[in-house]
Amino acid sequence: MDLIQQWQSGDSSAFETLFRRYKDMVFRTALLAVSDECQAEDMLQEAFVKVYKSRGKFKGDENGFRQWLYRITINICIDSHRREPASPFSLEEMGEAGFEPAETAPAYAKFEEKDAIWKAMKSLDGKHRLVVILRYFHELPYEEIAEILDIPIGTVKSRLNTAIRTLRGALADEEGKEVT
Amino acid sequence: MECKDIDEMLISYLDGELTNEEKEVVELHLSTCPRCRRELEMLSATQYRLRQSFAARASKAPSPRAWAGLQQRLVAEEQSKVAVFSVARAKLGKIKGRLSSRQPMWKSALAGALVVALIAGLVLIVPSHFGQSQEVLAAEIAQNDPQVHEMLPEGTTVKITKIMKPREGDIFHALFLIPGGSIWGGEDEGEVIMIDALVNVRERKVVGLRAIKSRETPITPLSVAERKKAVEIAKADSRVQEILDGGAEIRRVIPLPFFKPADSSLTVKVVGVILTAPLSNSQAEVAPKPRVQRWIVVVNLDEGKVVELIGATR
Repeated sequence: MDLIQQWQSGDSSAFETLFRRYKDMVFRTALLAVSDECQAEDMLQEAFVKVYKSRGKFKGDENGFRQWLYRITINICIDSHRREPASPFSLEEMGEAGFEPAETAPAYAKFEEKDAIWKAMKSLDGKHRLVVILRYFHELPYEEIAEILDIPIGTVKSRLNTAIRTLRGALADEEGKEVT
Repeated sequence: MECKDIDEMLISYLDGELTNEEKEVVELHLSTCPRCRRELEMLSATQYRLRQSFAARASKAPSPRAWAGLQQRLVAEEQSKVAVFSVARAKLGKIKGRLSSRQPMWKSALAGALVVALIAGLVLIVPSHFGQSQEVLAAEIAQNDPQVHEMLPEGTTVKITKIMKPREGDIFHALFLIPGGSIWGGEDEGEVIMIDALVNVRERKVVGLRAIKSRETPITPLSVAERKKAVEIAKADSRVQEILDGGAEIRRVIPLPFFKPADSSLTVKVVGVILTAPLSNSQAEVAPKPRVQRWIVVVNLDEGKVVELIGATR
């Protein structure tokens, strides 16, 4: 009996093994999507609650499980974007508006400022950001991304094109600033 | 092919997602077009920076408490499921007959002792310390079992006080503690009823129900002086001395709320001094499973003497 079968037959240690095996994958995806550790951990729990509840519904092997878990995670990320649209105040904006950043904030703010590509990444909408995460963080092939997101491969390509070119633009702007 | 067409293929080219034919077309164009080569370099640099940024930000792992947090959340989810269940409970009456005819044993076992009532406004709570998902599952099965629901009083909060792990097999015991006099009309004050749902986790069903009736007895904690006195009294007893000389140790001193010496009034304070000793090798060979011998020295604190010496092996 493989791990998936053990889990589906109600073996609690198999569920724990799956959690420990895939928690980093889920957590990091969520962390890149929302940039907040607490929220990412919350989303990790949400993902595995869904796994726990859907034990009887899942059909497939561990590879299928991994894809299914990606899909669950991505859907949670999309939902979180829907629930909480971009924060009205960024750290930088608050600084400009005359708020004094907290003691520990300047180092983080500096890190944020330096990483122009991350700033641009955050400005992407959810569906583009998730394709970028699946491709350049998880290094998944287009076909798998298409399956996970349930979209045609052509859409994966066009989203990546749009996203990378937006990011490239941000990078070019940054280099322009450095020159001037 | 024009630059515009090639441009659209550059990211797929970098990602290794082009067919061999497409790849050849792109490479042929790049060999003659400096503008597209620059574009390719820029896109490649963007991907590199993106990967770097991801690596820097996603090197973290969830906190070590993530698993415990998930367990708590599962319990919380079960609670909300029960709340939903309570809304749909009005339909219970319709299926009641079917359930009891399928498994009549629970009813006969409890006949006469229980008032069968449909439940309204019942809330079940699972303590947050349930750690393992099998236990959570057992709680879920017990909570959602219509037969269990029928046994619980209406309009009150009933707690699963304990989920007992099985020593062997898949049977868990979900114990619901019900204060006497709630729906069990005519019960004495201080009477406690426990409903013990035997849950087969593998088969995902309640396989038996038991009602346990007992009398509540308050436990008065022992003071340090009382514990000390109890140990002194026990040690002074020749039989206890013999056990201690044999290698046993005094483990703890506990109140004995149910112990009522036949010849004394209720006000007498009786405590138990627990002694344990590992079994000798010869005994262990005969009975390989129990490894500890245990004695309870029943001490009457008021009279300053050992009332009884109870031995047990486990």
